[in-house]
Amino acid sequence: MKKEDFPFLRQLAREMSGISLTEDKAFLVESRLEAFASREGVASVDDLIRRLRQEPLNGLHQRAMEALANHETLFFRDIAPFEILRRWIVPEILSRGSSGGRVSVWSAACSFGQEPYSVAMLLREHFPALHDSALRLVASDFSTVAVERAASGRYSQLEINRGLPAPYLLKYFEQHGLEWQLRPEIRRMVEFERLNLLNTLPAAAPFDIILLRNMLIYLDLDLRRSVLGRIRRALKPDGFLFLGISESTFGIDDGYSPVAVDNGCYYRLRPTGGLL
Amino acid sequence: MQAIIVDDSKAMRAILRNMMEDLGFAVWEAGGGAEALDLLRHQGRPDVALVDWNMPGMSGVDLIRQMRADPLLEGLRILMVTTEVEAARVAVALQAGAQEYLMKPFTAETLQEKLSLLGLRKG
Repeated sequence: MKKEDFPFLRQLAREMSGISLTEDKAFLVESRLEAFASREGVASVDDLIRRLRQEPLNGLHQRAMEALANHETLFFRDIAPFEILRRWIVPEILSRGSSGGRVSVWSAACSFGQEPYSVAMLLREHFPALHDSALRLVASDFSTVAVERAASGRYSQLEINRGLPAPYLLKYFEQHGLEWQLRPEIRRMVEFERLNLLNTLPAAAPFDIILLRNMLIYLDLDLRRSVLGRIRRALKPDGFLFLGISESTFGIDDGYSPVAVDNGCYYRLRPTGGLL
Repeated sequence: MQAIIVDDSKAMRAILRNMMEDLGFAVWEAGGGAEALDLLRHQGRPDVALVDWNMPGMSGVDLIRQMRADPLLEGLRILMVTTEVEAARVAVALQAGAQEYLMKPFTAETLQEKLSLLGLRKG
């Protein structure tokens, strides 16, 4: 990859996916594009970049940017948010007369689906009445490939090994050779959609609970501010937002106030929030 | 925190020992079920036992059943380490008294995630 190509890729990634590519990621970017070029039948990374530069925005650009995304995730990642949902938040929402016994959840940037399915299994286990019309569980990602894989509910042994409690494996998965597939009753609980949250919100917004974990870390400050502002509009006034362990709204958007509970933290909207 | 690793493979014990020591555990090793029970009788109850499924003599499942029958080991967390991928065998391990399973191959990160599921955190 030529040195002058990196600023072009950085701009493309920022516009299409919001991902902030820094110079120290050049090697990683090149190796991911090499693998992508090979899959696409393009001879080299240089040829790929030439096409990306010359052609009007099309599926190739989208797929190339998806190939740069990090899909690292696992079931029940960090555990604490799921414990907080089970112990405090879902019971609180259900106790409100205004909820009508219904709960809505959005797993934004859901990658291969481990997060929304973890929520689904948790709800099925501890709040069995929450299904069909009582639950709206939406999961989205900007990557078409990720959303398709997530919707299939199929996972490798390595993926199953990560974070999934053994009793849940036995209860909610079926084995197909070396792969494991979530049972239909869990898959049916989640609605997947391909969505770029830099410019779109799910039609089902606003939500009681939004999980936006480990996504802001890939964005620059301006885009973090923009996304958090957009998320404010997707969250009910008395809703709950979860970010990743290393993420915060501090210094970015004072429309949120953090609430520390157990070993974790969530955010609520301030009554009159606004940008810093 | 203390951990006992029970595996007939010296290499696997060394791998697990390195990973567990990096996570802050003091580690005991046993090359089989009888040796493990003997060690536990003398040393007392550790926080967690990592038990291999396939061992000559006493199998990992039999060892777990014996550990669960010992009141002095009450509260011991047990992680079954296995190459078995069949759901039925995971079920057998859980019925015997294991709380979690760890499928080979695994990384230090995966091991740490499994220990977290058992309520054991790096410290």
